[in-house]
Amino acid sequence: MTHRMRLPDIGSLVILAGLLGIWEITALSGWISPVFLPPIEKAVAALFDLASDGTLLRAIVGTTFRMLIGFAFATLVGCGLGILIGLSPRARAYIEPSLEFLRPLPASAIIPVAILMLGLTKTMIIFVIAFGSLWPTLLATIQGIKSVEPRLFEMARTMELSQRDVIRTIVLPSALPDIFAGLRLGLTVSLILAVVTEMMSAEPGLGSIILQAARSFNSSDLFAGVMVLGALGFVINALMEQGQRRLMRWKSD
Amino acid sequence: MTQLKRVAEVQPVTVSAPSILSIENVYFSVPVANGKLSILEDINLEIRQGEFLSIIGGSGCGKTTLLRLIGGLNIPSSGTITFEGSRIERPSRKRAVVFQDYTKALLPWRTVLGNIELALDTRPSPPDRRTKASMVERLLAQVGLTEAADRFPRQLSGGMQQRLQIARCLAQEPTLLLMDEPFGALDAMTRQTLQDEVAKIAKETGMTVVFITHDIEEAIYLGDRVCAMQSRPGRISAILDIDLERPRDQLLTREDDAFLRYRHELFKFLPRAH
Amino acid sequence: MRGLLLPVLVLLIWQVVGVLGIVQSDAMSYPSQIALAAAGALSDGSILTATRQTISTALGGMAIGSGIGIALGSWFGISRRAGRLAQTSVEVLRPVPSVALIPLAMLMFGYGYGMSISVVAFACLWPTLIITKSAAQQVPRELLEVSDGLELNWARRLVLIVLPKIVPNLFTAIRLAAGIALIVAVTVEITANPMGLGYALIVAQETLHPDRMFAFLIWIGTLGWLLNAGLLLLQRRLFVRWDGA
Repeated sequence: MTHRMRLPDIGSLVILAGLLGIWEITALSGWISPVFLPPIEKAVAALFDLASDGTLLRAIVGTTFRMLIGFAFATLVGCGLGILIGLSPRARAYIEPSLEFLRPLPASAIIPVAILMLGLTKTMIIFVIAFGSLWPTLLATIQGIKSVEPRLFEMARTMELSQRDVIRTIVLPSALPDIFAGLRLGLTVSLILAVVTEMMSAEPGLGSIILQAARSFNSSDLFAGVMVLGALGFVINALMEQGQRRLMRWKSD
Repeated sequence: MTQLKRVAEVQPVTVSAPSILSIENVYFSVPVANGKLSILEDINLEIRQGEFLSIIGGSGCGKTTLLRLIGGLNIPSSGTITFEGSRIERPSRKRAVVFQDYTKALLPWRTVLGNIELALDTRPSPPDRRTKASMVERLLAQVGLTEAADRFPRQLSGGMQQRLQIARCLAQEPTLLLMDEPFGALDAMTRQTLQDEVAKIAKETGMTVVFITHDIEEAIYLGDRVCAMQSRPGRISAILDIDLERPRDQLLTREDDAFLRYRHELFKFLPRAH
Repeated sequence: MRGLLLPVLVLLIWQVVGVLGIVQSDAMSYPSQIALAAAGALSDGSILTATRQTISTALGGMAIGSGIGIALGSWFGISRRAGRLAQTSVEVLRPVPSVALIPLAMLMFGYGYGMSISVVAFACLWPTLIITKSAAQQVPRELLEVSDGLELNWARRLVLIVLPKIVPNLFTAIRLAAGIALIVAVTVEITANPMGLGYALIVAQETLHPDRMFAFLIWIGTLGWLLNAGLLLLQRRLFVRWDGA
């Protein structure tokens, strides 16, 4: 479901401010202990502190970098394989049932396997992220290629289009919205796995900041980290939303 | 660079016009649960260069299958179809097909311009930019879509989408234009407009047209010959020469005595309600 | 049954490679060993306990998260004003990855069910809210006017008029939420919480028991697939009438 990106309605901003007010009052009154819920100004101060000595920037860069590299691998392999498999009904008959079985598997479950095989290394992290985001990408690509209108293939035959031309002018443009939806899901998975692997391996990143903060009962740093992660998630979502809207212009369903 | 072919005058179709397509002893059947289902039997037909052949029949007479065989999308179970001297084994640019479900045969992510350009860009020797532009312009004018060049197919009415498909087929510079009930899904007024447009294009380009329809009057109105088919299995029951003046007129031609006689004749060969 | 060819082939090759010892590693295991380990884990009850813990977590979190999601979603869907007012707050909270809340939950609840259930609830809330809101927005105006005519208060209106109309969509939302719940529950267990199937994976990994690890991994995958297939089947059975077939 797509949301319209128009300017937020004043009333809803007021409601948000109200919620923030409730947060502030709850924190200051000690109704929820400051160990769990810092007053807003403390969380913001922590945010600035982390930003000022570069920790925050390094963390954001670290998390984003790993997320994107793993995602890039997954995209290349997922789309490439997906196109090959999607174009061949025979390949699909053999491979799709196994893929359907793997679809509901939690991507994070591969982490212990990866740790066992690769240790708590950067390679392990990239592998986990790539592996986890591979499946949504692959499945969505196959879906997109599968659902190209068959009549267009007949039209291509009567025009004597080469196989390359068919892929370039018909299959890829038709499958692009589905592929993009898969990429979007894959990117979400990449972010989640990047954060989780950081928490488990103490690689510098937003995940490890938050975990460290929790361990040292530093709720201000914790909330600062959560806010940044929320912002990161928001930006990624907004960008993908825009991209998807542009691609979906011609698709009536 | 080749121009779209123009003929200076109306070429009357006479027995002496060369045949460009022959269908000889063609049978077509499909495997079913307990054996074979025969769709077409004993089809023998010569199609002459420059003629407008209408094929008419009720549902189940295999007329669409016959068109697909001529187009090369299917292969006959037995018999041969020869086009310009060689046997048909696969589809060809020279035998352009206008499909019945026009929306599904257009690229929804390309504009009207883009859809036509597809046929031009993918030729063995694609035209250079300026030539392409003038070809596209001419094609758009020919089907009356000049103002809609930048629109997407779903922004077009049914009639305009069908015109776009025709334009794209013409861009292939075909020798044979195969049309599968192209106006069946359109309203009566649009249908009449497009009938006249197709007749005009056929005359201007001298193209050979095979036109499938279930509408007797449309078949007579457009055709130089009408081939009537019977159903289950599909066989040719009759071929009528249509000797009516061209250019045809929606009002006058349809009232002509000869027209009404042809209509009578053909009614005999076709089931009443379909 | 061509679909079975690939997995069977993979298992065969895997078994042969393992038995022949072509790849020597503490990290690898092969099908026969894995099957043995699975039998072992069944007999000592560890699989059952872990499964019970994970499923309780998933169910509990889903109940809370989806419950809130359905309630809020119906409200925001039926009342345009409420929907508009809540818009920004939802947009701000929704993109927070649920895993980011694991340390906070750990801080607040310590290890145990509370931590897992709260994260699962957060993860299930938003998709359920959005689907329910979208479905509720499509309840025809006439039905709502009927409820006005009958002078129903909001609670009865919700239960008697709105909910029955959107039940098929709710089921889809719940099916989605169930999948998410399982995934998030396992993720929390892998990351931090020492209980359930995720933790069993970690323990097997840390004690260098790849056979047990793979056994649990395959079981988790099977569980997820069974859950999804089961719910799908249920949905088809229950909602055949709605399709008007």
